[in-house]
Amino acid sequence: MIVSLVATGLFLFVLFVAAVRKFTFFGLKVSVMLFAAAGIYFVWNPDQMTRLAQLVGVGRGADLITYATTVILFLTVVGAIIRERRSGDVLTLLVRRLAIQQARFPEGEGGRG
Amino acid sequence: MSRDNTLWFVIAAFNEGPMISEVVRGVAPHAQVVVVDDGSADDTGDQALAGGACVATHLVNRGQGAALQTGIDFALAQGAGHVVTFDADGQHDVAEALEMVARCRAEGLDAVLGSRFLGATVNMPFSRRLVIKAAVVFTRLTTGLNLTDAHNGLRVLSREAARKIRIRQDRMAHASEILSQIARLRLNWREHPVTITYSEYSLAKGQKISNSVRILEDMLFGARS
Repeated sequence: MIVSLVATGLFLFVLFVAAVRKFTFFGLKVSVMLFAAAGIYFVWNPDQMTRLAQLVGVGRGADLITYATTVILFLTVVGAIIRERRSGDVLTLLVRRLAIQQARFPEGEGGRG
Repeated sequence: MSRDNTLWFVIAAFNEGPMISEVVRGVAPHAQVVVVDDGSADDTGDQALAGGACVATHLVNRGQGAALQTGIDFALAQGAGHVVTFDADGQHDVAEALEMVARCRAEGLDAVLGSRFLGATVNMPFSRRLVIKAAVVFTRLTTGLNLTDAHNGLRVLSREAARKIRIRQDRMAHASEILSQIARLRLNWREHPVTITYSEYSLAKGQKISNSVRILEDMLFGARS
């Protein structure tokens, strides 16, 4: 019971955050909200998860959750890497601009500035 | 020999304090030099300046590709007619670089690429030879360029080529990126035999085999648009 309540609380939190947060595209917002809502439903109706698992050819509900979690984690990591790279690109442009503006010249040479 | 002020050597350097001054002093009598100190923790920048190079400093390390692009931008802003990308660890021979520049000018080429397999290698580990040969096959397949070497840091670019090529791969994948841009832009290029000397210092500093995994990862996730 406690685990179910904690899981429900977490899904409600995700649902709330997805509802109020801005997403880069609307489809992602809807997907996250649907995921959280489905999570709450399946926490309290585990048999339905097993039925769903059998429907898609996976033996047990627990297995389906494992597979789905793996896929979601993978996509999240890829998304995080892409975001990190975009931030890195911005940083590179800034660093480059500063490096050129503040370049040092050997004695007797001034450069074109 | 008088210095050619339209010729710029671009050297990306990260923690090359022990070697950079010597490398710069080898080049400075012949050409202008810009060393991009890529966020070094040591005195690379000061040593390069003392050797006679202009120094552009990355406040944080951004990788060799990013540093080369900074150096190329700087050289172009200073009016470079030709740009040479040159390693900081003493692997390259200045005389050969100058030969490549002469060839680039004489034949009206956009780019001259150093090839250690047309030329020679000194103390090259077998494992590195294997990895570079694999990179050559990969580059041939992906770019269509009939190269004998890949990931050779010694290149000569005409001003126009240096202006057209934009390095967006900040780290080591820039070497493949430059080649793919040469192919895409249909630049007029030739390979030139060069000697790469693998000293104890350069082997300690240079690319590790594990870097090839990183390069593949960079290419997979792509560069900024």
